[in-house]
Amino acid sequence: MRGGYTGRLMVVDLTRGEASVEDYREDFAADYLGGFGVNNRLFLEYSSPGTDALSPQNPVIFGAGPLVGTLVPGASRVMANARLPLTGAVASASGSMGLGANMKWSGLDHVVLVGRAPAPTLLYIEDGRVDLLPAASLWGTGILETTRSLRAAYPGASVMAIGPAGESGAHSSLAMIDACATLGRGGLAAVLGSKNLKALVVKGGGGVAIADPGRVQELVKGLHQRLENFDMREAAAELGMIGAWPMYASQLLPYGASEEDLRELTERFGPRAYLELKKCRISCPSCFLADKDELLLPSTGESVYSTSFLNAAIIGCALLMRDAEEAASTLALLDDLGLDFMTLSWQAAFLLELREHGFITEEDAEGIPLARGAAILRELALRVTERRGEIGEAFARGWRGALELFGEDKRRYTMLVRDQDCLYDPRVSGLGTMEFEQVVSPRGPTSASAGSATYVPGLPEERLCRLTARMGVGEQALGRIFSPPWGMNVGRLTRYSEDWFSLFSSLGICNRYQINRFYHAELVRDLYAAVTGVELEVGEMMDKAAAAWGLYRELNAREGLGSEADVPPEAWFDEQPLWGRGGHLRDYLGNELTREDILTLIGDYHDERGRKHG
Amino acid sequence: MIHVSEKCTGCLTCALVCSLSHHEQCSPSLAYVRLHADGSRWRAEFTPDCDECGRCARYCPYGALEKEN
Ligand code: SF4
Ligand code: SF4
Ligand code: SF4
Repeated sequence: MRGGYTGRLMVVDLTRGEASVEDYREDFAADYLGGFGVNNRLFLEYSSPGTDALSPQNPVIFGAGPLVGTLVPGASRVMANARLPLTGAVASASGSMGLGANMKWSGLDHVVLVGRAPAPTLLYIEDGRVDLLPAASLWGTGILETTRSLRAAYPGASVMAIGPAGESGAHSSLAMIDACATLGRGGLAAVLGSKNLKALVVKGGGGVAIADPGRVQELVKGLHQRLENFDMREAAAELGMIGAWPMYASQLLPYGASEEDLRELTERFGPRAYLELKKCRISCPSCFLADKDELLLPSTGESVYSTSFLNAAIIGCALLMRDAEEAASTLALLDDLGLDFMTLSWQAAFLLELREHGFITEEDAEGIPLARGAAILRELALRVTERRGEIGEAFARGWRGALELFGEDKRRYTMLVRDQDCLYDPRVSGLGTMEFEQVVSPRGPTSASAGSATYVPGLPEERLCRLTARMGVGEQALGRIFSPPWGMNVGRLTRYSEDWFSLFSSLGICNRYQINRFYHAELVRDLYAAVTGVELEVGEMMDKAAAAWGLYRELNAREGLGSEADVPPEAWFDEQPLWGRGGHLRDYLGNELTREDILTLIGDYHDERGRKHG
Repeated sequence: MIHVSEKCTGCLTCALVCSLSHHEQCSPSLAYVRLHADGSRWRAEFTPDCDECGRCARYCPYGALEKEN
């Protein structure tokens, strides 16, 4: 292996307290590129089907692709594979900040964790050496304080930590990297908690070898040039993701909201409100359009990190919170506990639906305030974390627990696929690839995979087609996607959006829209060649990305989560408002869709997935 | 003399391009510019090996490295 890859992985047996560093098979990287792809291949190697998510036998595998740790813009991604408790799916979760880069500078492409430590433990890796240290004093501590104290103890290191929600095994828990990047929606923190692993701290003092340094600098310079010419650059630099507020606002508004409501929510959570809290922007290694923040909460003088202020705006709008500070501090509480803010928000919205339809009263809610606002979310988060009361205990077991408590017939007040809540409602935003992906993704709905040009609403068909070609989609496939009767067949397009995500996550580039919009398939091929010395045709490269995704589906099919689990939620076919959203199901171009249409599109997705690139 | 402004986000691009051009690898430890977190601000320190080639400043995506006269 010439450049980019270290060729090594570390296996840590937490039960025995032993670790070893070994070379992994070169054909794994040759077949599946790295990161996401090789993680899937290693998972096949280290796991057995049917293993319970919280059993010591469930491995957790971290992977950083060949571009991670280099100056390629946004090449910061770390992937973590494990079977997760919320859905039982094998997930390959995507995170950012400094963990992946430090793994690479430490001489490792992958870290495999197996077993269960006998007591709370901190795993420290520095330049390929490893220490398993007692962490009893950190157990019960929030993620922010854990991260701050470990960073003070290990300057320059990256810290991935779990919070109290992961320690107590909540299925909606996730881990945080450097306190401002999430990792593992669906209970990765519960898996780590079941292994008694409080934190993973990695510090790399080495480097990533580069096959052709001059060519890498040239290509990166070109990318920086593209950024210079980007007309939204100023707004993005100043405001991060909230710079595109008008685009997001239309999707965050409650169902039936008026112009006046829009003005009101813009006032509370829009750009101006953000600037009042913004302290400084935080970047992942190599990112040229950072979107993470340190925020200052004026009423307490407290400083908190945020994965992105947009997430505070999302919960603020969903639960009609008072102002940006209330939303930001609530998000910070959930991040600190290590809970998925989306699942918790929708669980709060579910309780509100049950109250509205007369199934529960304030009394049944065991003192959880049944009104929109921050209080319901904060209270629910604490109860889930502590597994307190009937509701806290049930909701800590995710949606399955919630439906066991209130009855399976209440499923109609949810929007779930594979027992995980949908993040996007196609009745609001139209059925783009991210909306459709929620049905066919092997791990259930996430915000990560299947991004495409449909992320931006209202683009005309020709523009969509051009932007799709940029993702390495060949002429014939474009012909199948952009054809009658759909104009744009989202089932077929989603297959290539997944492959695009697979490519980025295997190489290690961030797939957020603001980053990936600057890339195209030929450029990715050239960067891969310049870093690694391996020259590939675009088609070959995309076939490897597709093979990595195929393996992902296979890992889930052997858990009984194959294509039979690709079932859209009932709420999509019901115009009634749910969780503050509603309307008629329609495609990206605005045409109304029926249940039969969705089944046809799922069939088209599988048909397209069965084909080679081209 | 190059100095780092409050626009710095800690992205390390400066260190990665420096080590790449001088050592053919991306390694903040080998770079002649070192970034240190100082509360929520970043401090840059240049080692005696820095030849003032200016690459770090040219590649800084946030315009945070400025030449002082
Ligand atoms: S866009 Fe955000 S998550 Fe992606 S690399 Fe940049 S700072 Fe990190
Ligand atoms: S001026 Fe040149 S040598 Fe000095 S730190 Fe910057 S890139 Fe390195
Ligand atoms: S490249 Fe610029 S923004 Fe990034 S760490 Fe260096 S000085 Fe800071």
